[in-house]
Amino acid sequence: MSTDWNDLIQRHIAGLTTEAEAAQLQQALKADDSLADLYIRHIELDVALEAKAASAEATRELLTAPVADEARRSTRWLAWRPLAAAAAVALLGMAGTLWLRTIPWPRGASATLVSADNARIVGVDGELIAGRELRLKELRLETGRLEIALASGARLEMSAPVEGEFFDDMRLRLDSGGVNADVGEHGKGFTIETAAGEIVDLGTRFGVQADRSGESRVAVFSGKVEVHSRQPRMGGVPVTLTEGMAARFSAQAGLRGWRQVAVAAQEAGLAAAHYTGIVERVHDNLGDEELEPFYGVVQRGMAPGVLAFADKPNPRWAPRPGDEVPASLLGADLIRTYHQFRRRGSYELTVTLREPAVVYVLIKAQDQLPEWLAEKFSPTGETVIAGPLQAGIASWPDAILDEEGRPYFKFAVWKANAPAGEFTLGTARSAERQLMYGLAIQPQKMSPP
Amino acid sequence: MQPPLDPQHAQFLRLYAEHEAALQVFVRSMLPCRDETDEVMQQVIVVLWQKFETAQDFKKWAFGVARLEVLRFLQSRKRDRHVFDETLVNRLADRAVLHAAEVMPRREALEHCLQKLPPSQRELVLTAYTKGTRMDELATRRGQTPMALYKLLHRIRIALLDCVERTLAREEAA
Repeated sequence: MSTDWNDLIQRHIAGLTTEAEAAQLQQALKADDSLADLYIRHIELDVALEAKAASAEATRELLTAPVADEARRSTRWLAWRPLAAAAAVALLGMAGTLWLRTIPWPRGASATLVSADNARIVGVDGELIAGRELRLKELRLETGRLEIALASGARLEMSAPVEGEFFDDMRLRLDSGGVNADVGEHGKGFTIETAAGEIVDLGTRFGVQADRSGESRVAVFSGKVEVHSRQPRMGGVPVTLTEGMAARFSAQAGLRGWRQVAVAAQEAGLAAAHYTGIVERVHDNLGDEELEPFYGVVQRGMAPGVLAFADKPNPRWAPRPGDEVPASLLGADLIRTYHQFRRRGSYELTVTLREPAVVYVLIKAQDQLPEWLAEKFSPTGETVIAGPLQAGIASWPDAILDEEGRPYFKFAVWKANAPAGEFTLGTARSAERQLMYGLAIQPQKMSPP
Repeated sequence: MQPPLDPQHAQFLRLYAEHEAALQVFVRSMLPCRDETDEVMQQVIVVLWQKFETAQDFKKWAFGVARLEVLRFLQSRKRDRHVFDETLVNRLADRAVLHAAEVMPRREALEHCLQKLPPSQRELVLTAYTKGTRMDELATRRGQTPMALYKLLHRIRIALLDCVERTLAREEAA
């Protein structure tokens, strides 16, 4: 019988081989360089996964540490949910029972009315004037628009029809309709529960739309939320959505595609988040069915300290005190590209514009730049700093190091006037030491002369 | 605010950070166990910093220091069946040096491949690789036998290795 070398190597690395197997592997590794290389590949994978796991663990701690007590209770419980799920499967053998938990008893919430417009809430009599104290348990907004501030600090805005129930000041079950939440610093951990799952706020502004059909849509306008889908295949694993992301999810289909937040919010009918910008669509040519990236478009989002890429927690544009975003870019619609695609030689990114616009490319300033850039764009002479990036590239000659040795880089700003319709950009790959480029879009009429 | 680093310290940090991942793979290829790798890496860093002034070609020198530290460590572990003999350890170290430049591109490809895994598998593999996770306990928590969990993780690892190769091949061809 032939030897499964992958299995033998893996078991050896895990310390599970017998003396005879270890001797067999040693002999084979000495005789065959390609097998030795396979051994190194397994080692590389182990080391990389350990590093990734350590990083994920650190991120998890970072996310849970500053959360208010109420949120921490929620997070701790959620961390145990996969175990409860596994127990449920083992005991009952039914995948459909994965959502196993104790539902808190609804006690209702205390709220202050901020504003109302032709609003009628079932069970609430009298005039709805700003400043009125309300005690809400069952929530049925039949007509109009309503904005309330909960005792927890969370502010909720909704337009009829909305149906749901307040469990307390930190938790709302939304049966149908749309709610925008601005939870502020004290409302972290505020949770909206729908038929499709839960959205746990980590300090943010977000919108949720729930359908009676069981589908929910969530869009994050700033900050981040955790989405806990009820879909069994998700296994209780929360997905973090950050600013500029949106998703649809349901108990049956789980989490479905990311969309640029503004477009998704518009589709979801989230009143406060209508995207009136000029970007209709952003897509690339990678055509990877398993991983369809969605580019974060944040309307008027270009400002110091904003995230540069959709797939990395860093770098940010103009991140340090004193770093500036050029005036021409301030308030531009920001498109977060994917840093991981920077080496794809055949990469093309297409932006569909509703009207003529000025497209700005922010690319690391260096001698060798992509050919398409010089063909379509012209340099503005302006620059913006991005960082920090991974320590591994701190030795690049153009790295600017902070006091902790973390690298920052200067990005040159190039611009092009683009007509309405599709406008395509190419690969970032032009030299060994290049990073992904960033994108910002301004309406032509708003651009400086 | 922290005081700025002196230039020599900053230079050391830059060079070490650039080669850290490849050094870890190098040391790990010579040693059978993760905890031992951590122990030796700590010693390697101390020696590198102490003798940094004498370094000409940092990468070559650092790998040389690491090799000596690992061989010294292995002297005390000769009888462990999971330790290869010195000839093979040196041979594996040579192969690791040969592939050192590929470590970071492979990591980036792995990042992409992890995103392609179903979320439950991604969470499982990261949990399994989190320091302190015991496979028998993880298997019990999942309602699986340790062997079933091992086989599942084996399949995920092979899928990731294949995906990394395919991703790099596509990038080469592009």
